[in-house]
Amino acid sequence: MRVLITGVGGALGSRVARLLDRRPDVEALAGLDIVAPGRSVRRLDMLVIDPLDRRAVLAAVTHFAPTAVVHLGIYEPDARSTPREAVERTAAGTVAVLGAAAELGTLDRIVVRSGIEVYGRRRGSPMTPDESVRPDPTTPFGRSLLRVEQLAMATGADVGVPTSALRFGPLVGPEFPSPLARLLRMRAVPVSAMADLPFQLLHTDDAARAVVDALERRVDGPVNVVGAGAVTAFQALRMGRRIPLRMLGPQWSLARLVSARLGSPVPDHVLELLQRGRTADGSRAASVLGRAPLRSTPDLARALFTWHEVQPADWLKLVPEEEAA
Amino acid sequence: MMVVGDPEPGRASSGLEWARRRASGSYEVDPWGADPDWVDALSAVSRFGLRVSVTGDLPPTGPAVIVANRRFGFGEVLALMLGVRRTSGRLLRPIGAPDIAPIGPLARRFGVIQAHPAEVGSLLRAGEIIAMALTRQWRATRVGTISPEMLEPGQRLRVPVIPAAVYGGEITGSWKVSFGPAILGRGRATPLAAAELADRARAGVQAMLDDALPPKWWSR
Repeated sequence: MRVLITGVGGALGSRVARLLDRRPDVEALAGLDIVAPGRSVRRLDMLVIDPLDRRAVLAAVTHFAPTAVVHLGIYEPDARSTPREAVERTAAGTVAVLGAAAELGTLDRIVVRSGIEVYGRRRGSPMTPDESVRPDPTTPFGRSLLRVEQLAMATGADVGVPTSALRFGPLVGPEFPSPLARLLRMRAVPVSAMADLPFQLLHTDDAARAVVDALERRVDGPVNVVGAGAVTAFQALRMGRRIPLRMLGPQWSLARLVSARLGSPVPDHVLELLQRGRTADGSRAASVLGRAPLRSTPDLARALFTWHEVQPADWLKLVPEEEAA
Repeated sequence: MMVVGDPEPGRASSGLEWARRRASGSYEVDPWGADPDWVDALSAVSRFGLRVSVTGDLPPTGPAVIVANRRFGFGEVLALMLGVRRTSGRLLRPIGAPDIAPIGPLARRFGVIQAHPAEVGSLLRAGEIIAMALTRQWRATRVGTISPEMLEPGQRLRVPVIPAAVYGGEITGSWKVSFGPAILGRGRATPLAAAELADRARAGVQAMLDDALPPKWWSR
């Protein structure tokens, strides 16, 4: 198969590229992103293109003629870009890549990155939704992910190919620019005074393996992928010997302002996680993907305080400036 | 009949160890918000004023749905939770946590879950034991009704429904919990079949209450 990976410059995309690079059934591998992966991938044909440049994306996809698209070009608000840029880049890249791939007539499978943020945390909604629960996002990131899923499913249905939407728990990893991990690593962290509900995490390595498994097995439909177990924000801070600051109502606005000034902005979906928790039923993943994530959520919560660093929020902005220089 | 007053010996932990776990964050919380440390603490504290007698069997592992009667207050639910915890070591998941902070998150700490079929389904898939209370009744000898919608996830998964009668009183601090024989749904999981299962479970609870609390001449 000829695999096109979008978002290949990120920690998740580069791991997926390295896993696919070793596979004999992968005939050709192309990566599309605004930056190249940190480590080189032997067979990767790198296409450095901004997703907002629709023409360049269309030309590159048409030229490569992929049979499989792995769409990981999902930009989390305040991870690599500002919330507005994240939504724009995600939407533009999805439309351009999937639209171009669908026109080719060579496509036989699609895998897209999504997240459990698509379920939202509206009052009365189940706390641990499975895939049968109708998505009802309550944050801009959740809505952005749902839009990606809908476009991918519509493309898959038009072309008649299986399309899997992997709904990952909040991703963390040593090189992954996670706004949640960045916030939890601060010395003092705002938490809710009214509730201390659990959330789940997923390591980028487990997410990368899930992508490759979904691609190999031609999984169709949404699949929740989360690390086993759960932790609460207060519990995670105890693990990392951080100071929890209990917040109520309007105090959150001040906390977000101060946190952003200190280099750790709190996007809406992270705020929602702190106030309402974020878990999902990941029991289907083991059966359809063939394996469950290796790292549990409590292990990841402990580990994130030992990692050397988490990528800073302005990482993306620095790269074009360096390149321009 | 098993009379239980003390927590399971294997789970007993000193206050110091409990405090150390809480301080270091090395305790468990499950994805539905339950914190077994808090349940064990409740169990330990309640043994001074609450005596629970249990008859009948529960499956030692695997999912199950317990359907139990209820009057006013939380006495029946608390007795059921403690009875299950102390006899089988399992954490009971009663349905009924409101989705309002801080009450909902606090109730979740003790294993209570929200009344949503998706939440019930996910817990049963994880092999948990759920308690569904019949609607409240003034008289101890009467049982209320149950929402068949909540039984549908269990029926799809072929999970046994166990009727339970809880009686006694908050004033005496002595409760009796009786588990009846397990009931399995018949045929395919449809709303009609769920309604029929709910009716059988309700009848099972009523029959056990009738045996335990024969009607007095003035209440006939």
